[in-house]
Amino acid sequence: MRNENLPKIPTEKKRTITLIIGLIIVMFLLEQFGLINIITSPLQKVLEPAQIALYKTKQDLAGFVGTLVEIKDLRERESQLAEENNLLLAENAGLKKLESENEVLREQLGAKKVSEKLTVAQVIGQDPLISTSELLIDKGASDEISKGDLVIIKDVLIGEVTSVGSSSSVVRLLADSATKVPAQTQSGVKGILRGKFGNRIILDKVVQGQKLRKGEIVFSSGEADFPKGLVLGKISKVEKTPAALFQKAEVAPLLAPGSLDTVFIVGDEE
Amino acid sequence: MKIFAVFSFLLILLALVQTAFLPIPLGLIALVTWFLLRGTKYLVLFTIFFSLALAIVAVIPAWVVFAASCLSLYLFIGSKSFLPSRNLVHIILAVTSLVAWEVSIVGLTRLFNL
Repeated sequence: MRNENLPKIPTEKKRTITLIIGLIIVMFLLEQFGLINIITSPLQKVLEPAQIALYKTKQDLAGFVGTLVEIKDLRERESQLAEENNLLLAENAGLKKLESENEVLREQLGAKKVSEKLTVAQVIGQDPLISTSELLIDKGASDEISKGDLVIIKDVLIGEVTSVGSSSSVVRLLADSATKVPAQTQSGVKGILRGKFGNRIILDKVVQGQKLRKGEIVFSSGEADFPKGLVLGKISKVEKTPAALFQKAEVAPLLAPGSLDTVFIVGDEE
Repeated sequence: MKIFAVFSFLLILLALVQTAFLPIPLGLIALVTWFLLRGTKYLVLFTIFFSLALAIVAVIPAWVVFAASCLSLYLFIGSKSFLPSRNLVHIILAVTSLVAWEVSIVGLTRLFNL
């Protein structure tokens, strides 16, 4: 039985709603069957230079404004960096020695060297949303990039490829709330590194009683498909709540995502 | 016809600006402004243009952007029809629509594991 008191939706409104739902379904089906790529792929290539130009302009502007603001602290920071650089050079020399020792041991043990293919990619844009933390790069399916590939600079993990277009891809950064990487600190303290609100990185699930120190480097622990030893960041603040089951630490990335120009995508060599 | 071409170009430019400078759906603000000035004429077509432009430059499925944009615009237009027609009300509604857009995009992306 019909209720005569219910307000009637005008026919034009009904038609518009039907049209919109129909369009969403058509777009969804085109996406599912890959037919939308016929339109988007060439346009992606056309728009890419403009995207790169705009992103570079933003970086230059941000750099210029940043320099103006920080001009006072730059001299002080320069001497600090020089000191830090000398320490790193000394550390690097030690690591090179260890690397050659490692190579000899590998040969003796007959261990297979992990073969990786590195693809150089340029950062062409940032995340279009506020709540997530992602980067856009200029390599896609046509360059054999696939979902799940890791993005690095030297040994520093930048993120993971989450979406692949024909000539560009989306990289989810460590600060994204969907990121979860099993990690361990220099001193061997284990935890889970995860992003928070798209702008913070937290080392969580660290058992109480284990010592977290400010300034310690955090590495991937080699679990959950992440290779061991990738640098994730540096502990900037330790949050201790004695009543809590686990302790947490805030981790600062070694490379600011906003300043990235060129990154490397790690793929498996066939 | 000239204004149609200019506005379409503007929507593409705003999608580019969104991925380079500001992570705010500037194209949606432009669509809301178009609605306030010109009504619903070409609105669906412009929403498709904006969705495709953003989908291309940000590698997001076009249907997700289109669905989120339609939902946000519907929220704006629907609320405007029974709320007083004041500038402050329009600004509050526009901000609400932007939040709804962001939430819809993240929600749909997570829901469909895209």
